[in-house]
Amino acid sequence: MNHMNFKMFLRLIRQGIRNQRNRIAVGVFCVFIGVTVVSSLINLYYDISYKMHEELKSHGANFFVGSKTYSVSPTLDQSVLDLLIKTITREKIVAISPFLYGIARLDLGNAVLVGVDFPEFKKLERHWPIVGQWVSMSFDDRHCVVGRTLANTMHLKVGDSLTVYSQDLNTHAPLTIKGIIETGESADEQVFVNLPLAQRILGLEGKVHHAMLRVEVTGTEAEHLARFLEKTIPFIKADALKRVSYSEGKILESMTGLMTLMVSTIVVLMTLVLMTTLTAMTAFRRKEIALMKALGAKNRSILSYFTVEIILIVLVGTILGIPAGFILAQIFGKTIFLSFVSFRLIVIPFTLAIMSGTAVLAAIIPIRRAYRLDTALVLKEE
Amino acid sequence: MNELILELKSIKRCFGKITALDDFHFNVKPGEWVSIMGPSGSGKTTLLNILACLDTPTSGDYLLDGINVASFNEDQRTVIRREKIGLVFQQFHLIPYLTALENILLAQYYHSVIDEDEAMAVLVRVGLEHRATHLPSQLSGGEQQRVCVARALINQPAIILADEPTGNLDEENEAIVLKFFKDLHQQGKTIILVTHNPEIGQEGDRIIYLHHGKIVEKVYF
Repeated sequence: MNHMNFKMFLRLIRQGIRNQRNRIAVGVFCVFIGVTVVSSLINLYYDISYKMHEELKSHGANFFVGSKTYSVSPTLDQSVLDLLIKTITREKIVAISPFLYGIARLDLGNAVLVGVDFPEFKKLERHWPIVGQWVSMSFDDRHCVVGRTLANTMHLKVGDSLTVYSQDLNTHAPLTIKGIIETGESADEQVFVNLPLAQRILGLEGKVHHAMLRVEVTGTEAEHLARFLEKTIPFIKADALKRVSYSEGKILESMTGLMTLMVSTIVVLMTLVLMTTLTAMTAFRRKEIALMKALGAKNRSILSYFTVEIILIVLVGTILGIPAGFILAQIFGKTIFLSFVSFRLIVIPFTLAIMSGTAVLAAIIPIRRAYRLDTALVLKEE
Repeated sequence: MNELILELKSIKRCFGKITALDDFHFNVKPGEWVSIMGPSGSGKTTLLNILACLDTPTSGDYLLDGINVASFNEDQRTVIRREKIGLVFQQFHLIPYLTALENILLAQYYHSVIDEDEAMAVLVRVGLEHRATHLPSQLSGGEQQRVCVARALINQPAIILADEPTGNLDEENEAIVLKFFKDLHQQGKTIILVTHNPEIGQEGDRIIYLHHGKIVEKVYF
């Protein structure tokens, strides 16, 4: 387009907007309200989903991997852990710990000795309440964690010494109690040590009973992964622990459904209001449009005015609406989820895409009216 | 060069069951001024709309400068209109938020490339150079119609089609506008003008009288 013609085009747009600023303002306000609510819901959805996922990530293991054949004595080689990591990929594994069980002798009687990888085990069971501390290193063979029931029975407290013996008393390890856990489960009666120490005491070097994992999967993905693992490593049995991963998937699915429904309702309402506004704008300008056509404007030129005006309405409404949406998301977050919401960048392209779709839908009828305008008839009107 | 600048052959235009123009034949030579007269509902406006390519006939041929435009689609009619025809309306139809000069430039904008000097020259020709920056609301009826004439002239069309150009003007302004049409006619411009006023009609080379969509009388001067 020639420079002078472009100036004329801009002048037509500018003056056209100025001439019907009230209707334009209604359009911008409609988009602003729509964007505010839609972007706040999208922001809320992504933030809460993320936070919920993070929260659920720490909520116990969601995968069990054991031997295909049941046996009291451990039949899995410790190297199965490396195989699992290789197969699932490290990035997807939040935590993985081996488990080896056996009866060990203590000074005052027998107890179940559990060999784990403490740093990983801690990630798996971080919601377990503990008095004292977890053992922080996987090579630490001088500390242990004991269950509350066992501690009460043997009058043990954090910092006390405890010697663990093998059944034949040939092997022993003097330990200091670093923490006491209270789970309400069988773990309350057990002594937890790092795996190599347990293997030495129990005489089961290189062996584990099973592994527990926390893998980043939701819903049915967990089942698929379990089948994939069994196929890839034929001698193992993999089970997705539905209690956690299934509920997590369900919660996220319900949230997605609710948010989609709310966003859809708002988008439909916004489309209708925007369509009414644009139709009113077309009706108001019908003489102008008819004159432009009579003077030689093709439908394409008329479409370009509408396009620029609609883009401006959507852009201004969106620019104002996104910060307002973020503020609204804080109110929703604090009121409903008792948590402030972080700004998610994905809100911007998502909202823009929704708004663009809405604008196109809302503009179809007004633009068709402008296209089909009977120039001669309109110019003859008083 | 064609002997006829426009030619209507067996034109028929129906609106539902109503026939506005029926087996209509009409020719105009280059440089001719034809006045169209007739009572309301006689088909004057329908005829002018077809001539201006704002409407298409139900049947028949319309040769504009040798091109049959009767079956043209909307965009094709738009192009031929902006190339060949200058329109002058009874109600002026100026864009209210554009100045007199910009209203003239608008026709040039849709035609080709805008040229302010050229538009100003046309404005000088209608004696409104001092009103170039005024909005239509700041101009009298006569001045608005002169801007409308200037707009019709800016693209140097082959034909000027005017629908009651003096219908909304007082006597003084009517005389001024009419003088422009006479000047244009003398310069060899083809003019087709719809009017109710016999005195204005007589300014042309001939008058055709319409009734019920047919030419009922032709008067040559």
